[in-house]
Amino acid sequence: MTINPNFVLRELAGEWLLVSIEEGEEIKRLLYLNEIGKDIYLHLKDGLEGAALLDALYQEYDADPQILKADVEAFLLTLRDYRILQD
Amino acid sequence: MTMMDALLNRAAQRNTPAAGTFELTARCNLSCRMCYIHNLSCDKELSKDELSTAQWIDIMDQIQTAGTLPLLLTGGEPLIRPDFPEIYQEAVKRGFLLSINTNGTLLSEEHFKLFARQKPLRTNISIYGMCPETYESLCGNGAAFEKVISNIRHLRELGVTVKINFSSTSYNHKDIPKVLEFAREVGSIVHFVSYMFPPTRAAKPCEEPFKRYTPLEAAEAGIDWIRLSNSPEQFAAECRKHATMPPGRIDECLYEGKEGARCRAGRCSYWITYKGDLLPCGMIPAIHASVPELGFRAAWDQVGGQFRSISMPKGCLSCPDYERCEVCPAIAWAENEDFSQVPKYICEKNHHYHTRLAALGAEGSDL
Ligand code: SF4
Ligand code: SF4
Repeated sequence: MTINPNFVLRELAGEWLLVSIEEGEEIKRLLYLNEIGKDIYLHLKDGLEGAALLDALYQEYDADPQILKADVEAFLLTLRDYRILQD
Repeated sequence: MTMMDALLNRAAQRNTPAAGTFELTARCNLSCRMCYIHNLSCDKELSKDELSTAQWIDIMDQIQTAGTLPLLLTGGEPLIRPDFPEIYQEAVKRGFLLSINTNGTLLSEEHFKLFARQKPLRTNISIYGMCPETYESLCGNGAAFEKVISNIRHLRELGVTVKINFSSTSYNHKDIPKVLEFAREVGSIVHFVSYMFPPTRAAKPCEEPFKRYTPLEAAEAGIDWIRLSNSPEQFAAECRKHATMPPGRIDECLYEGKEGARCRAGRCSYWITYKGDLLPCGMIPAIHASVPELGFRAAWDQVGGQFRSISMPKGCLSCPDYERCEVCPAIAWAENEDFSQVPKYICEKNHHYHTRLAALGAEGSDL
């Protein structure tokens, strides 16, 4: 699993966005992230995945493990859909 | 409201400098009579004062840290700078959401490749008329017309989004239907204005002064625009809306109850001139601070603070038409060089515009 380097994480008025700077891509291709989305993205950039990623998030967020796991999986699908996350 | 609008509104409430404009140059290859800044004869002088490539890139780093995301590159004519591709690419790399204002005449193969590869959010191209004669009389360059038209077509073929800016004047009024036809053909939206700011920032007045619309003509041009750009049913509906609109109605009032500007200038948006002066908006040279001297953050704090303390003219605040009038501090300043004076030109234009549409709406037929 690799993170596409052609996205820049930016902040606008307290919200997080991933902006595509890929050649041939529409720069307007934006993905809005909430706080936890931003943290997941940063962990992925640091090379965390699978159980290590979930562990790190359990430490940071006081959330139900099952719900957290499902949310993370859904978010990873979105990142794949945007080609932010690639195999 | 889009997510972006909502975030910009939030930024405005926090006074975060979220949306910027870089006026990369005041120079231009055209010489439009109504231009608020440019005069061909001064180009040599103007280029001396322009910020360098390195200075713009340094400012990009500062505004990124300060929280800017949408960034408009404008001029004068920004493509006149040989370093435009470099500036553009540096801005892309930093993840700014880029838009460009251009007259569309100087697009080279290099620009086309650049925009096709890394598409701007929007390319705003000014069309000044729909024939060489109009371009000659308004911009002093008849040959520019064919160039603009073919360049817009080419951009659209490359999949670049183009918005057409049309400044309606007595010189190009007759071309309105053709502008619309062309916009439909290339699939572009048109931003129409019939109010021209007096050239408060021009280095030197034009030799042949610009004949501005009278306020009534400007209002009529606005009405013509609505008539021509909508179906007869839509136009009739718009007229009826005015006929039944109580005074004080407004579609989008951002900061209700405040006495200051109703736009985002100085709250979350700003303009940096070719010399590096930060202004609340490009039309307000009276409030400024130098970014190269103070740094962006200090310049923003100073200019934003000063601008937010400006009140609209008292006569406007108590005017029953205020909320449906386009008056703003930039207009007050441009018309009278005084933020506290009611701009009479706008009063007349506004009054005629609404009463005429309302009368058409009340008649209800034969629109
Ligand atoms: S021209 Fe007027 S409305 Fe537009 S940004 Fe400037 S002050 Fe605001
Ligand atoms: S410019 Fe004139 S019409 Fe507009 S709000 Fe001010 S006083 Fe009223």
